[in-house]
Amino acid sequence: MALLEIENVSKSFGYVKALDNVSFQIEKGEVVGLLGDNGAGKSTLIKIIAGYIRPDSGRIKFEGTPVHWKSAAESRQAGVGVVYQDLALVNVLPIWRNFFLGKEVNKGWRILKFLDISNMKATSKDALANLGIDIPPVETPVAFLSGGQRQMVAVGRGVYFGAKLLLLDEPTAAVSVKETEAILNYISQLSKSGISVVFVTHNVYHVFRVASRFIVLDHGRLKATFRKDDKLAPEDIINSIASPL
Amino acid sequence: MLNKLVKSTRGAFRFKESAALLFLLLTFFIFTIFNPLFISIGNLLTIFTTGAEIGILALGVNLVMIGGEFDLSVGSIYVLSPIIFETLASKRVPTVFSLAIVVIYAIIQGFFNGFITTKGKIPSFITTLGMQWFLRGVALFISGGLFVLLKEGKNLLDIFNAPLPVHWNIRLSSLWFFVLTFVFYVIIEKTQFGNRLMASGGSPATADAIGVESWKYKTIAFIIADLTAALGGFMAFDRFASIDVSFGVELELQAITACVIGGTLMSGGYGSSLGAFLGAITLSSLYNGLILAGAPTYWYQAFIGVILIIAGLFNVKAKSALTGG
Repeated sequence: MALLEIENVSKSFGYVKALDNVSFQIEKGEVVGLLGDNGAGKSTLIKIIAGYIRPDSGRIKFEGTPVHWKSAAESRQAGVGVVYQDLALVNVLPIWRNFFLGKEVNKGWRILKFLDISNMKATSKDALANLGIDIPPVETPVAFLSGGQRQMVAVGRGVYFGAKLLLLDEPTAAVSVKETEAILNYISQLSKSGISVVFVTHNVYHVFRVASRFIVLDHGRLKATFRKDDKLAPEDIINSIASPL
Repeated sequence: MLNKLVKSTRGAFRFKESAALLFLLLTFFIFTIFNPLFISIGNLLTIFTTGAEIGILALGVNLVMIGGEFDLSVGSIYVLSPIIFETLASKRVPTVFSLAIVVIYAIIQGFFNGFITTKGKIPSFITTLGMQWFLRGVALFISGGLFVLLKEGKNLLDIFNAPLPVHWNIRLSSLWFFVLTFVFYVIIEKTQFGNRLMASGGSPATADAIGVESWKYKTIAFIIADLTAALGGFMAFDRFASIDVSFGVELELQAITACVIGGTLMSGGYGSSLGAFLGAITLSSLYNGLILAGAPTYWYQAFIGVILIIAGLFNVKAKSALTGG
């Protein structure tokens, strides 16, 4: 049974058909590259899977059961973690507050409940250790973090809260070469531990190293899928993205 | 290496309230030179008492600003609340009941401000500026443009602002102000609501994307602000035993000024109740000090303007030191 099944999903914004009858599946522990040029419908698809926007038609099944998530909170509860490129973290807040945003740990009784701050600091510190990228003290505002550190905090948060499927939107954009290595390694590790990853990117070379399957979107339509084998080269995928529909 | 760098730049602006404390000490220093009476215990308590009413307003406005919004309607709610109360009480509605009605009104008012702003996706500047005019009109209509005198319910309203039975000029509003500053500090820093409000103000889209519905937290902040506005109005009404529409004019701007002096960012996500507290005390020391120094009090407005701009500049620095820009 596939972890995620997308069946004939369509979505229009006014006259623009952002997604046109798209279907695919994602298996448990699989890393899938979602590729396409600007405006291909990648972010719309991610937002639909995350329950942030609703499709006009089509069905989505998660772990075999049809789902109709009405908010990001519901999909998160079910085990979908999304890391948006720009909307992953709140800049002015420290790491630990971002880490537990929406899933705060409280102590106390009834209406007199207060944040268990020391617990949250210690937990987020542990969860963000040994990811392959050094993260500053959890009291540091996120604005001070590098691109790679932000990605790691957001991904680490998703993993800590039990994500079975991680949707990563351009995780290696604006990230240094060294940190990109660490992120790619970490994605491979996640896959081995059974977490599925959808890796949205422009950079075929990055995703080529970690994904086993590639889905190319063009003008909202599913244009091609590739399975990684000995004969497939990154250039084949690039040619597909660049060729006319 | 990076960790050390972050720590050292943050050192100078370790606390959100550092600018406010500096302003307050500077004000104290200057006015004491002009008139040593300024620093006497009696006068300091007077400063505290006069600062309490505007300060309680500022605490609520501060919360709305942390949520990334403004509430310009608090000045009108400040006068409308006691006017509604007295109008009902004078028509033989039991005073406790009248008070309860005003509390319910303030809650609905805050919900309206928040709901229209967040769901209508218009700037709160517009929503609450409109409300300010609308509610002032309503207050003028109910009061007939006249002073409303406190005849019924004095005993009840004394719980907000009775003079304390001590030698100095100090009222209950000071205690309320102290306690509420602490309560708001806890709300902001130590509760789940505070965490989500800061996120909703710092980046509403990020909050929404992770499933924290920013509109809810912003709307609750408006409700709390409009309740504190009503509370401030009752304090003024109890102290002066009369109120008219002019009492509320430009109060919202004073409250925002107190918050900005206190280090609260106009861009949302960041602010402190202790800062708003110090900001309000700075404003009342300015007023008090100018009188003691024998200066015409209209300089008060001029000084507020100058301090607001300096505080704004200071906040830009503090913001880049604390949040990276």
